[in-house]
Amino acid sequence: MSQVVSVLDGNTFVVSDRTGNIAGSPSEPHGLFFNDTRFLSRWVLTINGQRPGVLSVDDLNYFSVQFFLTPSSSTVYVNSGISLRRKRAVGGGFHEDLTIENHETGPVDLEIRIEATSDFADLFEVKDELAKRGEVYQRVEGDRLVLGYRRDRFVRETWISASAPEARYDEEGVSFKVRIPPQGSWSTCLEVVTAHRAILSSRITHTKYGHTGNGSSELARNTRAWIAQAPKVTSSWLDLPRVYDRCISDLAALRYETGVVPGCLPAAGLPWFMATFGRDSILTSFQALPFKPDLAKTTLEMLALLQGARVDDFRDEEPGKIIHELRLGEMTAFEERPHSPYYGGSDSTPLFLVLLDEYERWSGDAELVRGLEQAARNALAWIDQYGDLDGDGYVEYKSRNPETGLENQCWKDSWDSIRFADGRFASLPRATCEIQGYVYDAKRRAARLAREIWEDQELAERLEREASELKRRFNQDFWLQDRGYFALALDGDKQKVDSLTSNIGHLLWSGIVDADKAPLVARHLLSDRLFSGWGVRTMAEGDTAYNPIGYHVGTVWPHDCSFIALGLRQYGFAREAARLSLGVLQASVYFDGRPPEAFGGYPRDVTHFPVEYPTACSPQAWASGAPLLLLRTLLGLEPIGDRLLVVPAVPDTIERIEVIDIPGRWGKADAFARGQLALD
Amino acid sequence: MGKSARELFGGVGPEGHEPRLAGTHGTVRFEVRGAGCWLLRIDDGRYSIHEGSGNADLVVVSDEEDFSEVMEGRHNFITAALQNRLEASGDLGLLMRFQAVLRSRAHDREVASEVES
Repeated sequence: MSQVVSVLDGNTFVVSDRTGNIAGSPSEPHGLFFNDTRFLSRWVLTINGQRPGVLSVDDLNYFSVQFFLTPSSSTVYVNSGISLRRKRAVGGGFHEDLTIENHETGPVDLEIRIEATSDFADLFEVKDELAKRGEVYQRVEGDRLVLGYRRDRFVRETWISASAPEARYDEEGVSFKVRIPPQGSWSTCLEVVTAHRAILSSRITHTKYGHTGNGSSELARNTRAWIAQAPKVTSSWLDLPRVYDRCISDLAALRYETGVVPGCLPAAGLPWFMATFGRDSILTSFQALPFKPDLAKTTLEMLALLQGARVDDFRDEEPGKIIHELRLGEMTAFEERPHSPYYGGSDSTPLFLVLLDEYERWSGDAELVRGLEQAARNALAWIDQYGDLDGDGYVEYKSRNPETGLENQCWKDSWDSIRFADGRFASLPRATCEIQGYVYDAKRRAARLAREIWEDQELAERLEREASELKRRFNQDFWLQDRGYFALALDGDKQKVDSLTSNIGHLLWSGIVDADKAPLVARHLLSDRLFSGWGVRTMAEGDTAYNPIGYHVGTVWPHDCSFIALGLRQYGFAREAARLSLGVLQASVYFDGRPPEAFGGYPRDVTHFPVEYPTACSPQAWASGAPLLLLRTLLGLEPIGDRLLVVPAVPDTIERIEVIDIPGRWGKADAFARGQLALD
Repeated sequence: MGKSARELFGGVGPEGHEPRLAGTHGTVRFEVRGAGCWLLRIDDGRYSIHEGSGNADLVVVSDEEDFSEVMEGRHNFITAALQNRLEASGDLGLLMRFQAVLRSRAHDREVASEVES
């Protein structure tokens, strides 16, 4: 059972223990967070000096939770005449209703206290355990407690107030001395407001100050409507709709209203990544297209607005480049971190073009493609002019900002991910294989848009020529003839980085693999070295750097697997795609229908259940998107002109799958499948 | 300190055409404390700048020094706003488009000076 309870709304979230108490430390991600800043690091309820114990926790939905408590502080339940209910809803800070009931035959006198402090840590400081530079202050201001932080003109405040007339404020919290009659109850609302004017957030929060609670009911309506509009999935395998429904509600939770463009885009994940990302937002939107195409539209519009315009070493910015990550905390504000926004991702730009085309194929929204024509042309120009650092025809990366930039600018962005089979680190700049695949796909897709929508035949022909030339060279330069798979990367000395990794699966998705090489690639992906039985490992067992709980060198990532499965299916490996899809979906069931960011790469026949990765984000947007893309793959959903093609390849262990009301340029369509594929 | 707000607006106005603002429509009011108020109207790439007040889709308020730092590309709108050096309210999409133009122009100037040298 998780010891942490999270409620969230966009980039406001509260992480507490199972009694609702928040006791964050410099390194502990408990707290109330908003715009990458911790607005409350301590929020501890005591009754007569004792912390209550938990009876149960009721997750009402992603933005509200109810804690049932008793004054007994130990884990052993002591029959108590008092019970407490703490109902918390997030939105512009959070709102908490505290109710205490006296079940005794006589009155009780209680001293109820909530201790409140804030360290106003930037999320980067929490993650990296860094010290603060400004000044923290507290003051009682009439009927509220103000916790604040100031550094030059940077000011953030948390306002705390209670509705009960007994409230007495001091600089460290609020107390209530109450007498509750027999069989009676006492209650108060507590309002915690994150107060600052926030650019790039729809919530200018201090205007919402007050004990209204209307924010959450509006949020509830909006969320119900968003979930209700999603297609419905039913299946003879009862776990499948459970996984699907859970993922749709998690995606609803991770929606992030930027306040810059209409609609919501997916934030990357809780707790570390509640922000706008290039790669994560694009890939999640791609996964969700048959179910929730609105995410792609907002993502494309937002990323186009933030597209790079000049060369800026600190931010790794170049004209036409799509962002990697946008953050709004103190370290970003003072340029101690480059995330305003940061452009250190070399795959986001081709992936932006891939999503633009795929979105139009599903939605028929040519108007958006026309509106983003210049952004798309800028992205294409970036690929050739800046993406290819040394003129060898491949996109490679090397950060312009060695101090605070990212060393690896591909999806496996941890420092130790790009290694040779013998464990050596690849030298910079690095051209990872999947990025070349994305570029190939981006150029072919942009060629279609140029021909059909921008009416630029010349551009279309040039892009097709370049794509086909890239494919020809790539199949020579990256192919490891003696191993029968593609190198992970070319390093700075143009050496082939020869470890066997999941990246080769993305090559199938991109279409860059020559037909005669595809069966070898598929065989490797489903081999014992890469396939754990639950999914494809990021790095193969047997390579020196392999570690079943190494972040990018051995764990299994559901999102990674979902794109690999689609690639397998596109190349005609329906059985292999089904096997992989089923493995990931079955693993998701073990995580209560919520696939985590990553799980251990241990072989399935050894552990019998997928092993949790210690610090994985959960929910994580592209992990929640994975079952959606796997469903698309199993059902063989493809837009063909104005029709939705359905060509199922479902394992025979699943009798039937039905998806009702798939939105697209055809209006709404249904897909039915019977499991007929024998996997063994 | 860089150029004054008056010099900056004088340098780009009173009207012109910016292809990077094709498809963009809207009015921005700049309130520069101690210097004055300017209205920038954008209509599908054509723009005009007038001194004075009026209704706007986006309002940007700042001190003159912060304003010139942002306009000359030494600070970006996002870090300036996060530091409370600048307040922006209304259509933030318009703000991002405007910032992209400023940064593109800065890029063009840098490329031109590289060519000259």
